[in-house]
Amino acid sequence: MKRKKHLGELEQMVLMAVLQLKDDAYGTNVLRELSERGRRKVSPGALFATIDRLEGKSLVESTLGEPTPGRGGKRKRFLTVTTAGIAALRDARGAWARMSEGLEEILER
Amino acid sequence: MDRRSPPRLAAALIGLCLPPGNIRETVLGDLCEMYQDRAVVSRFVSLWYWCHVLTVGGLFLVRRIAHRKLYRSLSGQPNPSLHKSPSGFPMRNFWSDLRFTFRSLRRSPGFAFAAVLVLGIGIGAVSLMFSTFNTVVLQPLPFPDPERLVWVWGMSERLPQNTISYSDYVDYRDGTDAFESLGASMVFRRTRILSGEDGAERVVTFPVSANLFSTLGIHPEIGRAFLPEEQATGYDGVAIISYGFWQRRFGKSLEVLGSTITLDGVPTEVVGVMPADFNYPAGTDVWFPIQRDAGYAQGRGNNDFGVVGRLRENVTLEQAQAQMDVIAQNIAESYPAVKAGTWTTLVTLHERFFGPARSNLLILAAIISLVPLVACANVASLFLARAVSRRTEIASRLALGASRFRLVRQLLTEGLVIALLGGVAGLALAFLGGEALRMFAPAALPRLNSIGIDGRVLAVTFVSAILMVPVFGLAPAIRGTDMRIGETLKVGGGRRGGSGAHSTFRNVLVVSQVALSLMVMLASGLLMRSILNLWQTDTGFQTESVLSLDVLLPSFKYESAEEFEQTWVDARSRIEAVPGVQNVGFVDRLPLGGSGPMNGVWAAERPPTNMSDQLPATRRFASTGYFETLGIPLRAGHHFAEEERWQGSRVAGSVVINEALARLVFPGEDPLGKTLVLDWDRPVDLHVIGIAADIRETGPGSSPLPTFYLPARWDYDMLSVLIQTQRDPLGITAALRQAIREADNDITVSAVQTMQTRLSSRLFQPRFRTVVVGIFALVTLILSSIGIYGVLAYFVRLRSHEMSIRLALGSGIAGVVGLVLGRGLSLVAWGTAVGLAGAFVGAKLLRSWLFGVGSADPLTIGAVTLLLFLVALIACLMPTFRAIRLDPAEVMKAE
Repeated sequence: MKRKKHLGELEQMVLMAVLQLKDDAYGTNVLRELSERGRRKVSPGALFATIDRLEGKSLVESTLGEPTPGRGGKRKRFLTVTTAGIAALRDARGAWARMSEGLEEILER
Repeated sequence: MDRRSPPRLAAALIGLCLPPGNIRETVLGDLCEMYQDRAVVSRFVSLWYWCHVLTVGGLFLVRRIAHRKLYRSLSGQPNPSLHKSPSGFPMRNFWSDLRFTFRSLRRSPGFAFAAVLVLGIGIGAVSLMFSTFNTVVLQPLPFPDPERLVWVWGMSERLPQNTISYSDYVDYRDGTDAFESLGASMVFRRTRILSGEDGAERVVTFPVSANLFSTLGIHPEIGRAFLPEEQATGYDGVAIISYGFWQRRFGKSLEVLGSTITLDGVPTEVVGVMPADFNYPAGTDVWFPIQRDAGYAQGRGNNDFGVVGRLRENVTLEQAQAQMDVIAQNIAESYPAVKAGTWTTLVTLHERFFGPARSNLLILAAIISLVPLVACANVASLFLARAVSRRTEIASRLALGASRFRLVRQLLTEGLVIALLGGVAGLALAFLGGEALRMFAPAALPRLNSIGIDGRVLAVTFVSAILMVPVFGLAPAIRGTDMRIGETLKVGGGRRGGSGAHSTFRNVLVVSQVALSLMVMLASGLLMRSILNLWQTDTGFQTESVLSLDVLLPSFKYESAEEFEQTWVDARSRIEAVPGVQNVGFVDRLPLGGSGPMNGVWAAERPPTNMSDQLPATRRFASTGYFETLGIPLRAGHHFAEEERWQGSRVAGSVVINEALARLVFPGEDPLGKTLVLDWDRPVDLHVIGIAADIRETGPGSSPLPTFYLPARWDYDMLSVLIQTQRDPLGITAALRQAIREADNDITVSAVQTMQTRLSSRLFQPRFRTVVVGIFALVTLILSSIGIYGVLAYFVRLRSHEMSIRLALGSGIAGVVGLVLGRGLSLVAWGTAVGLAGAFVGAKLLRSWLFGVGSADPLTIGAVTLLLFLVALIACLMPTFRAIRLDPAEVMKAE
């Protein structure tokens, strides 16, 4: 996927959640983070779809963890944001900043 | 359900949708954790989980289709693709074929509906036939170890498949060791009157041997079976009652055991109750032990007992038969007068009960099996048309590198899906058909109530559905993918590309459909003619305005034969006094009630040297008025005088014989005044005083039986009465009942019906067959007409270019019509020729069902063929019409 696509909103949120979670960023945890910090109820389907997309765009990478009890013995897939991912986030942030210039009064009410 | 882990089924389902490997594991694990989180806050977490089965599962499925490469890096597995890879390849591609099929069928709902419907009809026919066969014939008898149960037929040259006498039974029982036990029951029911506080009731009773129940392997539900000693005590001993009777009369009270019931005034102790589904002999309310000394058990020649045996372990039928043969030989030698030239044959009990039904059903099955063939040909045609219409798509795929094998497989998958859906539709149709059978089918089909759909039927249905796939799907699939790609993709080249081969194949399909339909229609036509013949055949006696009923006297009230006679005579005069009554006759057995009792007879001048010279003749005790009531003319001589009585075997008497008997016993001479000897318990001389016209005692399809008539027996407790009325017979039944009751209040009158009704119930079976075959004939006719229409429509479309040119050049409508109609009718002609050839071969099957018409009857063949052509003509009309109205300009434009 070579075309430069900008991040969707949920994609941004997920990337940031992964960054926030540092070493402990896997599917369910990302969901919890979005729910608690971002106050967003995201459906598992949407989450997995987003993670897939991000991986497809090489904005995150994943590694397998050790099996843990309490999940039916299933392993976790830990996510990390790639440099490309960080670049994309910065890009999104910049765009947001530029667009919201001069709108502080409205937006910060 | 364990709150700590999600529902297993749901997890398994999602698992199926996820790409195998790490993805599946980690996503399932994540979902598990989410489940646990949610379980804390919500009671309906399982529901939540199920919802996400759908969304997550669906999501991954879609993604798998679209982005196969995506998981490569994550799952660490080779890219699942069209290329061969170890295990999982066939399934994965099957799934994708399946998905493709559903999508493409959804785009052509018309095709899918038509194919499923047609196939459903074909499969439904198979399913229904098998389910009927399964229930009626294949299920074993409801007795333990039913394969070891056998039936004893008493055989002779003149009279095959008779029953045997009690004395014979005893000899066989005591003289063989091949059987664990041999049990007997009388063939003729004895109707008795049960009296009690709740009023009098007719009950059906049968005398049986003490070991009959144990032979069959069924034991009384409560109480006990008869003891061997009880076989001699007679009436005022013991009885065993049926479950139904117990329910009806005793409310299933356990106190019935040891209680006394009064049968014909004689107190009888009830010692047992049989289980609910035990019904042998059919319709029994009360069993009682055979009384060895009773009249019915006497007489070597009174073959009134049906004998059932249970073979010992490891004894074969043949071994038992050999032993029986020895005893039969002894009997024949010891009693030559009655038993010379007789022997016995053993058949399995299943054969005895279901043999006739099985052969009938086999014939029906053979005819109906043509229906699924027609359906297959029809659906094959549909599939071919569809393949042709998708040729561009198929050609492109071929060009892009898809293998032909793959495409054929995909097309076959479509066929499989249609077949399975057709199987479901067929099951539904078969179920409805089964219900219809239950409502309309003759009671002669045993076990009617349990015809249903069980595991075996399901299996047969779906196996035949799957087997049909190559039949209707393979050829179209192969042909549909056979094309010179270049030509198809060329602009405008598609229309003629492959048309030649496709047309021929479709024509073959239509011809075969027409041929098969013709065969079914011919069968139907022949059956219809048979039924008409049966209806029109003169039975020899009149049935209009004739009423029949059974009258049972309360014999326990009468001491002597005179008292019986008094009541009968009284009853008769009262009946005659009822307004509307023209004639009355009494007889011991009504016409259309089976042949009934028979005795050996011979001409006095030619006494028999052995048994085979004795003619078994049907015997009737008929009062004066019998012949008049039934309109049976006397060819010669006269009737009995009013005062004549049957005096028993010690006194010579008079007899009226029918023409059939006269021909056989007194060939070429005038029987009047001659002496007929009757083999009763000893030979009795009877003077022939009259010759009656033949009647078809057993129904329109039968030949007249040699019959002799004796004067009515007024010492019987039960007689049938025939009443000829002036107008509507049923209108005076109330008056008749009343009149009869006036002779004795405890008389029971039953089975009141018109002779007309009795006649039509005789015809029930043939009528039923005719209707069933007729329905299927109609179905196949419709299917093949649709097939004809389809092929012609395609033909018109194919040649629309050429036809429009013809029209434009003014060569006339006639030319185009000729072209289309000619094609259509020539197909039908071919189909007819093949169908007739097939019918000639199969016609022998039907012979036993036909009456008054040969299996190659030209009239029927002509009529059916004509009908077929007419219908085909109608099917040809629409395409012809369309051909005529082709607009040349439009056709050119479409090029």
